[in-house]
Amino acid sequence: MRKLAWLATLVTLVVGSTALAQQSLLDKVKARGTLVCGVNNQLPGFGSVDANGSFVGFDVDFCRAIAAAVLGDAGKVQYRPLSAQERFTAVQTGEVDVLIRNTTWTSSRDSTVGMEFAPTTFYDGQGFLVRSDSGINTLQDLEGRKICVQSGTTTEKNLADVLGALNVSFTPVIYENPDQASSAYDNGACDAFTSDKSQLASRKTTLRDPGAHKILDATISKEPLGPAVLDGDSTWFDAVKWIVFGVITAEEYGITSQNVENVAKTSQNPTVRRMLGVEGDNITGLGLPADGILQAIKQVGNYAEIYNRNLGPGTQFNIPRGLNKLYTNGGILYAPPFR
Amino acid sequence: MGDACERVPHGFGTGPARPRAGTIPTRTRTVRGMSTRSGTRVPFYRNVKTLGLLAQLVFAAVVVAAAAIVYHNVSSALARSHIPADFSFLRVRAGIPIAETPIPYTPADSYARAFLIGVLNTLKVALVGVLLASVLGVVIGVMRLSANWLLRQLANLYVETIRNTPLAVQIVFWYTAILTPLPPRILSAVRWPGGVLVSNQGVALPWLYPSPAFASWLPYLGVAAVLGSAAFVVRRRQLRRADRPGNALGPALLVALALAAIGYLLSGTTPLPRGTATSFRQVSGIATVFVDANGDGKVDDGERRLAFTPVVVRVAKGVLTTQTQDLSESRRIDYGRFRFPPLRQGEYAKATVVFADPARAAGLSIAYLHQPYQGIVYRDANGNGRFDPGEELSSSGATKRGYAVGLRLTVEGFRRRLVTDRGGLARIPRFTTGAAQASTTGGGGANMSPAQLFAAPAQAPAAGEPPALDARFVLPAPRPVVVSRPTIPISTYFGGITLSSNYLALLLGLVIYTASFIAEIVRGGIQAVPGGQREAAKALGLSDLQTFRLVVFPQALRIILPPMISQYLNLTKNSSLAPLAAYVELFAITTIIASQTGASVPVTIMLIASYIVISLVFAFVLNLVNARLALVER
Repeated sequence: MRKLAWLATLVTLVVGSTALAQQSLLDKVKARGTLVCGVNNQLPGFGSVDANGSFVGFDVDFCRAIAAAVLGDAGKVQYRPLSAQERFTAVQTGEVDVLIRNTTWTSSRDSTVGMEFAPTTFYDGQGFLVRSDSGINTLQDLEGRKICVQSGTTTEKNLADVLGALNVSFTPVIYENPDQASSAYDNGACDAFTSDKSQLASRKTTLRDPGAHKILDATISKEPLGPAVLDGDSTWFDAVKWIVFGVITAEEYGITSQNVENVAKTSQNPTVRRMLGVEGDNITGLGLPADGILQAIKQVGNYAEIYNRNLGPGTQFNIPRGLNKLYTNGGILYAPPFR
Repeated sequence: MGDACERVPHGFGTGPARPRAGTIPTRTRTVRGMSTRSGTRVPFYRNVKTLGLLAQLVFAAVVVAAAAIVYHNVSSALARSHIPADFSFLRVRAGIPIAETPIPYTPADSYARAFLIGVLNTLKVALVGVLLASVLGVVIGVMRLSANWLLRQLANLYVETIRNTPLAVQIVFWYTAILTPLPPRILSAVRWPGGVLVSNQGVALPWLYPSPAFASWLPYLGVAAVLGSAAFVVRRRQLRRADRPGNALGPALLVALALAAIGYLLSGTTPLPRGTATSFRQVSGIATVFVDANGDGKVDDGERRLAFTPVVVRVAKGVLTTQTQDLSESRRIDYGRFRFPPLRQGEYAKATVVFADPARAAGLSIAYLHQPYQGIVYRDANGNGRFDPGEELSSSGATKRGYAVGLRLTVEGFRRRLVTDRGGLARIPRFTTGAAQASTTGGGGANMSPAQLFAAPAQAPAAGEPPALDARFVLPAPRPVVVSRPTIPISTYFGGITLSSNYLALLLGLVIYTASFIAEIVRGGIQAVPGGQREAAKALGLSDLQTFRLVVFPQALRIILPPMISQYLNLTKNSSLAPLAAYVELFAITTIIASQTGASVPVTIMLIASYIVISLVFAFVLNLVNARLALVER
């Protein structure tokens, strides 16, 4: 009798779990009260843990901006540090709501891996970190060398493709995590370390003698980095997308975290008024509270503030914005209008 | 006797009751050996046999239903979250660069081939590891029973320490703490007798390979094999007939080897196919030996490359550029050291290191650590003409690093004998003619788009390629087998066989860890042999060593073998810790495929299936051995 009861319970559980969930992630996040954000904890500048144990970084700030827009409080985020191998599985299984972990937007990830990429927040490219005195200046000089690369990223694929096309043969050393890879490079186990140039700039600061290394000029791939959500949930996707656009548009109109309240009260610009939720239902139509974008800018900042706080001239990285400037300044950041 | 015998026992074993004469026969039904006289059938819900059958049917139905529900659940969940659930990704171009490939592989091959490479790399580690772990385990196990106190304690210490430390920690220790920082860097590789090179990239050994002339030796090998087996059969029959103990394998091997050697000498050297030419790319220092079918001097698709072919390269005069590595072994940052690709004495007629800009290098001197390719640039403060500690160039100052003043190694009369690799390539150091430095814009300009990189044709010389070096290639007629000796043309090994530090770290970790467990098993097995066996052997006058070899160990082997099988399987499965040592085997490849294609479920199924198959084959083979060793009771 007891065995039968146990069997019945098991069958019920299995059958019950087939019930499909139709609710959008946006509603789930609002109901839960926190945003679960997949981030990197090993990439200073983009996602890392500071001395107090809290997450900081460029990508982390976008997590906070989304939380501020959806929930009204930038602190209501649960961070899940993810490795390069497990990041997509975490999104696919619903373990994280959004993945903001220096992830490159590629066609295969959009299709077979089942991701949906929000607008690019950082236009990057793949480069090489070598010792200044190793005599390596161009890609051809990498002939016959050992190159450290992290597994599970687009990096190793680009490396094989580009250097193969240039007929440069090399010996790859593949590491599971970037800390191991860069310390192996530092110890001389390989002659070059390849990764996105922003990662290289970040890693260079952690080496024993940063001045003895240099990043080659050559950029061998396009690496547009941005947030990613799961396929099939267009409400959530639209919300995340327009929060990012809001942050970029804020820089375009000169709205900062200091003056956003003032601008909301006094501005006559219809686009600004629509974006900050003062008039129209553009923001509420996305499912966000009317002051969503306003809160995001107030609590986290516009794009320039986020960039300068994490990667700007005042930090140890000092990565030039390059393509990451607004389209009006010579870069390619261009947000569609709030209309 | 007496009454007891006549009393008819009632109950069991009497069989169906026979109707007594005069009574009306009643229908009886036998249920489980017991008969009832009531005449009613037992209903099926009380009939124990049918109940049992029904219960089994219901249970089977429940299991099948549960399996179907789970399957449906999993496949719909996978479809919903866009995780691919089929195996079509296997045909896609892999794009994964792999360093160690037992079979030919390029990143243009499919994921299926990459997976196969992973399996082969796992087997490479597992088979060698099993062998070495057994040997080491037996040695340590016997040591633990030694009469020598020191040996015993050492063995105890070994087993207790190694057994109680996690294997992952041990592998990381071997790779990160020992094999990467300790051995010398590749450009200062240590040369051991026999042509072995050792550095922190691993160990490179000379190795034998079949040259294109191998086919001429094959008939002799065939004859040697046939006659060898004939000798084996004959000798075994001889021994059996004379009823003498002895091994028939020895003479057979001797015959086979002698015939093979004679055949080798007879086959001599065979000229290479007509039209064999060498195509040299100076920019990369790679020479390709191939059969030039259309005579255009370039390697076209479809033209066969000759693998494992000896080639002698002669460079009349060439210049090498430095490849200094900044951090020295002593963890002191040494700014004045310079390194060129290593040259062997006898490979050059003359070699000198000069400053490219003597004006800027005024007051600097050169001291050699390895003539002529490794040394220190220093400022001779005390004027004694020798390098004394303290005279190194400091990090501050105009001449910060040796290379900054431009060091050039001019080599005259360079001569090196090489054997091409599996792809028909031979690598030499990247000499230039020493003329004006080639422009550095080829292939690496700032922010060239990826499309432009791919547009650069692979074979045509790029703009700014250096003037042609006077390099001559001689292709001698090879013997059937060639010895490939390792060299360091740029900064990795070329030639011979390389045991990378990744492979060695993984192997060391696995072998030492598993050997500690095997040692305990061996010890237990030996101690389980009854003491009477030892006493009897002693009584027969056998020495200690003979007792162990002929009496104790064979009996212990029967007890040892079953637990050993599980230790071998453990070693095979533990090889999946390879990513800690950056060794690319099955598990590492699977992780890469899963993250690149998103097909985590099919690839995990393939991974599990591979490990199961490998383990089952292992267990099957060893169980056969076990069965043969089992005591045959007479």
